[in-house]
Amino acid sequence: MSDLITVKDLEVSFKEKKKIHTVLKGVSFTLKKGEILGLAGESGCGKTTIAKAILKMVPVQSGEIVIHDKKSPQMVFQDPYGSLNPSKTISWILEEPLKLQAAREKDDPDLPRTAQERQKKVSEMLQEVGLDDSYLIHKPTELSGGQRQRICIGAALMQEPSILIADEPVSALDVTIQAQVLELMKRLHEKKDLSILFISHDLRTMYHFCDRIMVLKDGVIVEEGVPAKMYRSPKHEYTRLLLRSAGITIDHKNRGKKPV
Amino acid sequence: MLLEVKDLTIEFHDHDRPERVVENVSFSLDRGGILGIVGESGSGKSMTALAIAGLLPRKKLKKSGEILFDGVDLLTLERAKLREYQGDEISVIFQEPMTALNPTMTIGKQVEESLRIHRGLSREERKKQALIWLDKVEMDDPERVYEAYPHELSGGMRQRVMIAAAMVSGPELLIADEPTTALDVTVQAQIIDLLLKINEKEKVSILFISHDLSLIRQISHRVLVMQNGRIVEEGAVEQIFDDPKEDYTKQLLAAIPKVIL
Amino acid sequence: MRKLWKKYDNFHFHIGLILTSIIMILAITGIFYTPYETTEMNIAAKFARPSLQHLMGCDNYGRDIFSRVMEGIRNTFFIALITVSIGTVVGVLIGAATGYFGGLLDEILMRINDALFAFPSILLALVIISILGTGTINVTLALGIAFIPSFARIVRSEYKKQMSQDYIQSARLMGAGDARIIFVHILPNILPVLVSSVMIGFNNAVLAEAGLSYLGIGVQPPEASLGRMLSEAQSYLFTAPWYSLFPGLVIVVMVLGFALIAEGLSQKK
Repeated sequence: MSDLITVKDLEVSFKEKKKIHTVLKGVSFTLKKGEILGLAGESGCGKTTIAKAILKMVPVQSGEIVIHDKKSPQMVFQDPYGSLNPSKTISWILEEPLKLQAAREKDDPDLPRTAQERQKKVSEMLQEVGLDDSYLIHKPTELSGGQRQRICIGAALMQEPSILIADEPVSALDVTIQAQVLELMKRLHEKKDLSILFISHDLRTMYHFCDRIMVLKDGVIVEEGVPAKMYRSPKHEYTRLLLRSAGITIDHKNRGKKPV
Repeated sequence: MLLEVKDLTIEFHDHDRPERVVENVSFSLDRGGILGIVGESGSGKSMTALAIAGLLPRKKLKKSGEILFDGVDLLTLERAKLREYQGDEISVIFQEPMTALNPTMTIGKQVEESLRIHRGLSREERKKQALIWLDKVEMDDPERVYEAYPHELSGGMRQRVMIAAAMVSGPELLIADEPTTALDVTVQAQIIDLLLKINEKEKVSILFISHDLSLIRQISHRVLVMQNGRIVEEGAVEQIFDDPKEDYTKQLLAAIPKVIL
Repeated sequence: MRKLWKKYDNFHFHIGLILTSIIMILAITGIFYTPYETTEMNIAAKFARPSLQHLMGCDNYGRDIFSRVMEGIRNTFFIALITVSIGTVVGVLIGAATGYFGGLLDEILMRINDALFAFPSILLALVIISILGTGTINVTLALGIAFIPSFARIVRSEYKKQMSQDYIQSARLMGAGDARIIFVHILPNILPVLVSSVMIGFNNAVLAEAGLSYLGIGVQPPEASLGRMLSEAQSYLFTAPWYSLFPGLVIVVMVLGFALIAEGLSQKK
């Protein structure tokens, strides 16, 4: 598998009240093509900063980030209420990425140029995220949290990126809705050969969803590995604490049989 | 039997059509018991809790049924009488530890508040009690925290302060409305442990409201599953989790990612 | 119109809309038709009381007050309209730029803004008029400039509020440029606030114009404006009370109408 994102010795710090606050202290990792990479950690550990650094939303002090792809990565945010423009219709929100893309890449013959072509793509995407054309005329405020997050995912995928960064995309949703949105993301991942950087604090969710997990604590990656192996024998104390907090403890009697 | 809710129905009348948010809800809570109410947003779980705490608005709202606390119907009690229960016999802790504390008052003042209102103790007495409780909620250096302001504390510490403030008057019932939702997972686990300890030591009954089944499982003795304002299923925690009877409960359980190691 | 009536289904908005409609009809009709020529003097009708011939009576030159009020509304209305337009357009540009980009630009422009904001708009307008000279166009321009700071400040704070929303980050990631984000993505979200501040600004402009004309530096005679009429009427307050009553009443109705609409819009449902 080829590498899509290579992050090397990434350091990010902010100045706050004249004190320098280092958020990331030398983070290195790669996101491979077609994988779902989990980034686990609690608030303040720097996981969102990693996403922002990759997307060039924060200045980087040292280290390098290389994205081996022409298309820029897209992002799905945690709060489905703030990440959709409240004054626009769903139709507009999904069409906008296409308009921007067409304006940027004037020479690409494959991009939809007319309003009709774009609307067709919008309808297709709505289907893709499990909604239908009746949502086109609605505004985000008229939708539920789960529906909004589906629209956010759809909008992020309109420009057909190879990389999607999802920052706690389901933690604001009800449990039953969480499962549906995760399922949707998994399906799109398989269908569109999408690589995902999945940021979350919930190790339970990540167990099934991620191919590989990195545990981040205070700006340092303390452990990295395949979920099944990591959960069975966590090496770092902090990983153990996170697992215990999520109620994941090994029951030796029922090992491999009963869910925990 | 400490708390008995009978046929509680709550209807909002602020729109054209009345909206029923809680419908015919009946349940009871034993002294020293922990009852978990689980449900998704819009299930009516918070409304039920607010009704018991006497915190529902009086206007544009129709309530019927009975909420018997120690045999007294809180639903029909006059406001002045209800005040004697609020913060004394019944305490509430809320979801948002950032806004539940007054940013301009010291922690000590806020922890003592219910003693000042209900007990009329001297300043020294109050401080002594507050310090005891700050210690009981496992704060390091209670003396320093007593003088501190909310912004100096982390989210987890604030929630501990909230618990101390709720417990200082020695209530019979503690209502916890999503008390850990805004917190980090590791802190969540600590708060749950703390609540369990307090329940055991102080014999306070706890009504624990959450959308998170795994939290409910860790803390509750009995569980109430709510959906669209109604009780779907009620039972002991083992029964609900190991042998759910209703489809909705099964759905909820299926939504928790299973980890098989 | 019916749609608006339905959408903002509240008492304030309805009353406001009715009052404003009456004023607008008078203003628009005044462009094509007035019962009498506004400058036609009829000595015989000097200080005539309100009657069927002269609905609002006549002034000291025997001019029909109703006709002059119609012209006055028109003048006052258009001056206020242009004033608010200048204030809004420039205010939105400055407010959007400072709120969106922040940083040094924000610091500099906002400090200048604060300094200007410290003067009452009327005083500021007086200063500008003393530089430009009197006359309708200059008064409009002066008032317009004087109105910029308050709009800029409102727009800036609304933009600042929107900046924390993720939809802006999302638009950036998709490759939207700054201008597009400012005008296409954010602007519609601040419209509700902008509309009500335009309404309030409009009222202030009406009062400011009336005030300036009252002081004799606004609309020049023999052109009528509501403020000028009031100023001329004050000498005859007791001999011909209707002369001051009607222009004053019209100002009140106009201001009240817009204030009620603004209130109604902010209430929504």
